[in-house]
Amino acid sequence: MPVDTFEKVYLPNIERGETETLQQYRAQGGYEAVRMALDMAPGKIVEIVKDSGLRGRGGAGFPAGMKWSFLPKGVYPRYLTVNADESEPGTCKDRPLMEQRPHALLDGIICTCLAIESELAFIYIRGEYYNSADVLQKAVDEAYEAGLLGADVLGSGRRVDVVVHRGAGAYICGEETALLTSLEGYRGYPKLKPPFPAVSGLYGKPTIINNVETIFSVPLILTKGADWFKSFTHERSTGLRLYSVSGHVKKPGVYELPMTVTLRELIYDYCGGMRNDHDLKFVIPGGSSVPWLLPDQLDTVMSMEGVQEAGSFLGSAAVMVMDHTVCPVWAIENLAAFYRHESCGQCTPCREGSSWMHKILMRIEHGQGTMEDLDTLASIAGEGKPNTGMISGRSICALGDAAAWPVGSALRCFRSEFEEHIKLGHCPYKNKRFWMADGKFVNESFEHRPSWHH
Amino acid sequence: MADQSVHPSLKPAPEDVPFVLNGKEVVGKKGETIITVAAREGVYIPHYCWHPSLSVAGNCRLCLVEVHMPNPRADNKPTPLPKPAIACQTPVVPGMHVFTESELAKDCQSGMMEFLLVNHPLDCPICDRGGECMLQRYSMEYGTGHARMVDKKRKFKKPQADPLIDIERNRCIMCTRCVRFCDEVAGEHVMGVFARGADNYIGTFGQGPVSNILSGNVIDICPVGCLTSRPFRFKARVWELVQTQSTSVWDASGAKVTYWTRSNQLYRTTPPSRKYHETYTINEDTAEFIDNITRFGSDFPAHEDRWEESRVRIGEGLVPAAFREAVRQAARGLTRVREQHGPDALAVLVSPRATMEEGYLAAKFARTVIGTGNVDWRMSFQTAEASDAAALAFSHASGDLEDGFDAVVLVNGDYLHQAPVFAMQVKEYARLNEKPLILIGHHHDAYFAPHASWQLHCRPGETAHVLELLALAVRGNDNAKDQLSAITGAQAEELDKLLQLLGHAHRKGLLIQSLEDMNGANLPQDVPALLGLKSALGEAWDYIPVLRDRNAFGLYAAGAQPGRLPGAEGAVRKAWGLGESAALPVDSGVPARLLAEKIEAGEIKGLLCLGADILHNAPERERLVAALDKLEFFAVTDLFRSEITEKADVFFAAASHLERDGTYCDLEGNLARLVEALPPAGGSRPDWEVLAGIAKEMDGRGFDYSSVAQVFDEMIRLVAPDFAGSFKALMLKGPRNDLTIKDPGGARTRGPEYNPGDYRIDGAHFRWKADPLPTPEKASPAPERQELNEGEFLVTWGEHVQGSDYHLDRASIARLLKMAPTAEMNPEDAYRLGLEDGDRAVVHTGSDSIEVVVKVRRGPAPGVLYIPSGLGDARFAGLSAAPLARLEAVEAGKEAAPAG
Ligand SMILES: Cc1cc2nc3c(=O)[nH]c(=O)nc-3n(C[C@H](O)[C@H](O)[C@H](O)COP(=O)(O)O)c2cc1C
Ligand code: SF4
Ligand code: SF4
Ligand code: SF4
Ligand code: FES
Repeated sequence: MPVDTFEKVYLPNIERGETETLQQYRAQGGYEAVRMALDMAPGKIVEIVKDSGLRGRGGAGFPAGMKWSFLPKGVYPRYLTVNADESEPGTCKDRPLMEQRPHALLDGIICTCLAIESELAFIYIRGEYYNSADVLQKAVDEAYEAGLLGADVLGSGRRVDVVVHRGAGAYICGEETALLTSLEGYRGYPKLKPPFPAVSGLYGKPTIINNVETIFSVPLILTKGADWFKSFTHERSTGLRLYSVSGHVKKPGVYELPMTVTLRELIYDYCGGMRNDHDLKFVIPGGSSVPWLLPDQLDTVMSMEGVQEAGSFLGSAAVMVMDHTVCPVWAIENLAAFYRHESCGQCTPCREGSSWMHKILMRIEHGQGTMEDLDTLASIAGEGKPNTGMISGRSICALGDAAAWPVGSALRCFRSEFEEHIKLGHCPYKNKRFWMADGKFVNESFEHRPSWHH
Repeated sequence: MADQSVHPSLKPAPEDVPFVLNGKEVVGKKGETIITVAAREGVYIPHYCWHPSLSVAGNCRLCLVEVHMPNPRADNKPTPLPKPAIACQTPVVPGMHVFTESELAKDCQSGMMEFLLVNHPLDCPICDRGGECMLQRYSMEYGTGHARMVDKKRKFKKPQADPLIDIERNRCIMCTRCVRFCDEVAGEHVMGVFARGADNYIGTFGQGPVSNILSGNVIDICPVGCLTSRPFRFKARVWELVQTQSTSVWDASGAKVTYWTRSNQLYRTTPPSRKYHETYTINEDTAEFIDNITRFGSDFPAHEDRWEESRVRIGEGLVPAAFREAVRQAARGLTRVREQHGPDALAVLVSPRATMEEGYLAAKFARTVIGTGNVDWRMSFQTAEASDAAALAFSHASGDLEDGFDAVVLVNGDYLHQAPVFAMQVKEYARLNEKPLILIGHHHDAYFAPHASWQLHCRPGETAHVLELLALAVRGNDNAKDQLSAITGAQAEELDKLLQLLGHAHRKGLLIQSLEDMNGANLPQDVPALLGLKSALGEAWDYIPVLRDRNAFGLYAAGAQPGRLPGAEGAVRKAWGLGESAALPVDSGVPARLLAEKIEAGEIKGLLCLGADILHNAPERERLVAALDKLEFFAVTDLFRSEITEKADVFFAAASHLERDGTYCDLEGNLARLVEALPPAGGSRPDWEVLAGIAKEMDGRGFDYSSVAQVFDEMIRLVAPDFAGSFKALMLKGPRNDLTIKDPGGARTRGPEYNPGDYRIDGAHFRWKADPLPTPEKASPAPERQELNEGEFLVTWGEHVQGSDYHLDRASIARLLKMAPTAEMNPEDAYRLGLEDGDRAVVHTGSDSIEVVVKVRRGPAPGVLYIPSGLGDARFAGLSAAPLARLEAVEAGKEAAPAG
C-alpha cells in the first residue's frame, strides 16, 4: 500500500461518511474562493483555470478554461449548466460530491458564474438521485439565506441564481445538448453541432456545460493555486481525479488520486487486489462506453493520455474490473442491452445499430449464433476504435460511438470465446462453477442480471 | 436608412464561398449547406430527412459525405476530417473539398440503407407506396442488395386510425419529416415522436393531423409507406394509374395537381407528379403542397345524385332527352322570354368554378345573342356594392409570388382557409427567407400571426381608417402616426420601425387583401383605402386581392360580369362581328347579388344558369330558391339532381372538372389548364358546347367552335393580346405552387432547381394599367367605438373551405373533411374570460345560438370573435356587418344551453 503524499481535497471526509453543513464548510475556509473571485476580473479567473490545465471530468476531457473562452463576446444572458446526470455505468463520483460536499459544489458554481459572467446556473441532476437533489436543494436554500446566492452575492452587487432540476432518468440526457433540450422541456434529443452550446445553448443563449467534478475543481484551483493543481501531472492531464472503481476488486469505491497512478497500482494497491485473488480478465477503464483493456495492459498510466495510448479512453474514470468468472460475451451483451435501451432513437446508425448488435449478441450468448454473425458484428461495431465500423463517427452524438466501441473491442479481445459460444451452442460459463477463496463454489449464472428489455 | 435593427431581412448580401465538389470548382453562398449547393450544381446527394421546406434534422445520416478541410497548420492543404460530415447541415467553407461518391461516402450510404432495412417489413407488395417509395429507390441505388439481418424484426401495434391518413409504423424510417411539416409548414403541433431507441415511433396528439387543412401533405412528404392515404388504401397500384396533370377545382391559389385515374374512375388527387431522378415523384425536393379539400374532395362528380343525361320538362316532370332536343328547348324558351319581355328580362349566371372559356362564351352569348348585359358570376358577396369593390380590386391587381418579396402586408382574412396554397406560399416565403410579415385589420389570419413582425389590430369597420392613417404616416404625417398608435395600440417605436421598413427601398413589396372577410361587407371602404396606401408606398409594391372563388379572376378577365368586356371594346366588336353601331351592352347588367330581388320584382323572367353551385352556395340561398318559381323559363347545366335542378325547364348534364378541358386563372393572374382526365360521364357535355349549341340554335353568329382550344384562342387574343403561349402549352406549365423560389438577395436559396426543362413556361399575366388611386389628403373620420360588456364580442366571419359547399358535400368522404364550428378569440379576451383553447362555448347572435369550440389565437383583435361561416350552423352572410354576440362558456361535460 503506497503512502499517499498528497492531501485529499475532493472527498476528505468520504471514509467518515459525513455531510458538511454550511457552517462546517465555512469553518474550513469554504466560500473563500467566491470572495477571491469577486475581487478578480472574470477574465482573470478564466486565465487561472486555463493555466491549471483543468480538463472536463464528464467524459470528453475538454479543457474547461478553453471552453469558457469560446463564449461569444457581449452576448447575454449566459447560462451555466452543471451536468449532474451521472448515468454512465460504473460512474459514481459526482454523487458523493453532491451529497457530502454540496456547498463546495455551490462554491464552484458561484466562482464559475462569476468567471463566465452568468447570473443563472442550472444543476441538471439524474432523476434517480433524489437524495442528492434533496441535499443540494437544502444547501441552495441555505446559501440563499446566507446571501451567497441571489441578487447580491456577498454584498458585491453581482447576481447568481441556482436552480436544481431533476431529470427523468434517461442516460442520453447526460449528453450536453440532449441535457439542454430536456431542460427546455422538450424530448431529450441531442442536437446537431455546430452550433456548440457555448455559442447557442439553452434557449438559444451561450451556455457552458460542465461536469460536477469539473466545477468542483474550480474553487480548489482558485484557493490553492494553479501550480498546486499542476503539481499532479501526467502529460496533459493535471490535477487529482476521482476514480470510481467497481467490479471484482476487494475494495471497490471512489478513489481520489493523481492521474499518474497506474492501473496496477489502482487495482492491487488501492483496491486491495482482485476478489478471492482471482485472475484479472479485463478492465473497462473509463465507464461502460470505452474499449476494454486486457491484463497485459496493467501498467497503463490512468491519465487521459495514458489510457488513450493503451487504445481506450479515461472517460469518466469509472474503472470496472472483471475477473475470470465473467463471460465476456455475456458482459458485452449486457452492455449492448444498455445502449439499445438508452439510444434516443433519433439517428439511423445508433437507433438501428444498437438494437441489431444486441439482438446478435443475445443470440450468440444463448448459443444461437453463427460465424457470419461475428463478421456482421465486426462490420457494424468496427475495431473498438473511433470512426471504424458502420456506427462510430456517423451518428449525431457520441452515444453511437459508445455503443459500438465496447462491442468492437470485446470482439477483438475475446474472439475465441465468441467462437466457442457458437461452436458449443451455449455459453461455456453457464452453470460453470468457480472455486471461491472461502472454499465454496459460486455458480455464475444469469439469474441476477438486470433486464433492460421487457 | 433602415438597417438590420429594423428587421433582420435588411442584412447585407452573403459572400461567395468557392470550394471543390467532386473535383469541380463551385461557388456557394456563405451560410448555404453542402446539399443545397450540390443540388444546384446537379450533384445528387441521397437524403431522407432533408427537405427544402423543412428545418434540418440531420437524423437519417444518408447524406454523409467525405470532407477535406484546408489545414492552416499545413499550408491550407486539404486534410480529411476525422469523420464524414452530413451534407444537409454542414455549411460550405472556402477551400473545402467535398466528395460525394468516394469510398467512404459510399460505405456510409450502403451502411445507412442496411440499417434502415434492419427493422423494415419490406411488405412492398401490399404497400401503397410501392412504386414511388424512396426506400425502394435508394435500396436499388445505394443499398447492398442483400440482407444480413436474420433476427426478429420490430413490430408495432397499429394505432387508432386517423380517418384520412393511415399510419403503418413498421415502415417508418423516423426521418421526422411529417413532424416537422406539421410544426413548420402546416403550423400545428399535432405529430411527434414517442418512445426511445429502436422502439420509437411516430404518433399524433391532440385531434390528430386531420384538423389542419394542409395535413394530407404528410402522405407525400413521407419518403416511405408509413403515412398513406386512407381513402386510396389498397385501391390500386400507382403504376397502373393514368396521370393527368391538371389543376385544383377548389383552390383559387391555382394549385397544380395530378389526377390519377383508371377505368373512368378517379383514384386519387396529389400534388403534381414530376419526373425527377429518373422516376415519378410527388413533392420531392419541391414545395408543391395541396390542401386537403383538393386532395380528398375532388371526387364529387361520382356522387350518386349525378344526372348523366340532359332533361326537358314535360308537364310536372323532367324527362331524359337527347342533347339536341334539350338545346332546341332551351333556345326556344330563351327566345320566348326575350320576345315577350325584352332581352333584359333574361340573365345568364356563371358558376365561379366555370372555366375562362365558359365565362367568355357566356358573356359573348348574353351580349350578342340575347342582347343583355345580365351576365355575372359574383354571387358570394354581402352586397352588390361589395362585388363592385371587388371589381375595382381586380382592376388594380398586379404581381405574383414568382420572384418572392421583401415585405408583405396582409389585410384581414382567413387566407389559409380561403386560398390555402397561396397562404402557405406567402407564409413559407416569409418564414424561410426571414422576410417581414405585417398584419393589419380586425382579423388577422392565425396561420400568419406567429410569424408576423408587426400586427396592427383594430375593430371591424376601422380597417379603412387604419389603412388611410398608415398611408398618411408613410407620407410623413406625424399626426397620423400618433392616431394610428392610439387606435391600434401599437407602440410609437414599433410604428417608427414599421414606417422605416415600409419606406425602405424595396425590390418588391406585396399588399394582400382578402375580399372574403365578412363576405366583403367593408370592401367599399377597404379596397380604396388599401389602394391609397399602395400609391403612398410607390411603384415597388404590388397588390393581390384574394377571393375564394376558384376562377374569380379568370371570369373577371373573360368579361363575364357587368361593366367588363374581355378586352378593348374595338377589338371585342371586331372579334364578335359587331359593327360600330351594333348594340353591345356592357355597363347595364344586373349584378348577380341582386338576382333574387329582380326576379321577385318581375324584372328578370328567364335564367340560364351554368353550374347550379352558384345558387346553392349563395348567401341568400333560400330566397333565391323560392324566387326561381317565379321564372317563366329556367335552364341550368349541372352535375347533380337537386332541389334547384328539379325546378329547371331544361337541364343539361354537365361535364365535371375531371371531364372537360378549359382554362383557370389563379388569384395571381396565372393561367392553368384544366385537363380532361376522364371521358364525360354518360351524355354529359362541357358547358361551352351547351352555350355554342344554344347560340347556334338562336341564330347567333360566331359560335362555330369545334374545340375548346378554338374558344381559348379567340378569347386570349382579346384578354391578353401579348400572350405568346398556346392552349396546349398551358397543360405543361410548371409548378406555380413550387416554393423553390430563389431569394435574389438573401442567403437561403430555396432548395435545388430541378429538371427545369419541360415544366416551366412563364404564366400569362393580365396586367391592366389602372391609374393608381390617390392617397387621401385626410383620413376619413374614425367610426365610433362600441362599448363591449363582459362576454360581448363583435363577430367577424369568412367562408371556410371546410364548410358546407354544394360540391364538397357530395365528395365521397365529405363527412371527414368538415370541421365543427369554431370561434377564434384573442388570448387577451380568453384570459379575461378564463377560457382555454379547445373549450366549448355558445355564441348568441341576436336570434341565433351556435355552439363552438374556442380557439385561442393571436388572429382576431381584442373584442373580436372570428367564426368561420359555413362550419356547422354558423351562417352570417346577409347579416348586418359585425353583429354583436354574447359568448357563454359551456362547462366540460354539460350540454350547451338551449338557444334563446
Ligand atoms: C451519451 C452521453 C452521456 C453522457 N453522460 C454524461 C453524464 O452523465 N455526466 C457528465 O458529466 N457528462 C456526460 N456526458 C458528457 C457530456 O456530453 C459533456 O461532455 C460534459 O458534461 C462536459 O463537461 P466537462 O467538460 O466538465 O466534462 C455524456 C456524453 C454522452 C455522449
Ligand atoms: S447517436 Fe444515438 S443517442 Fe445520439 S442522437 Fe443518435 S440515436 Fe440519439
Ligand atoms: S415503404 Fe417502400 S420499401 Fe417499405 S414496404 Fe412500402 S414500398 Fe416497400
Ligand atoms: S412517418 Fe414517414 S415522414 Fe414521418 S418520420 Fe416516419 S418515415 Fe418520416
Ligand atoms: S439528409 Fe442529411 S442527415 Fe438526413
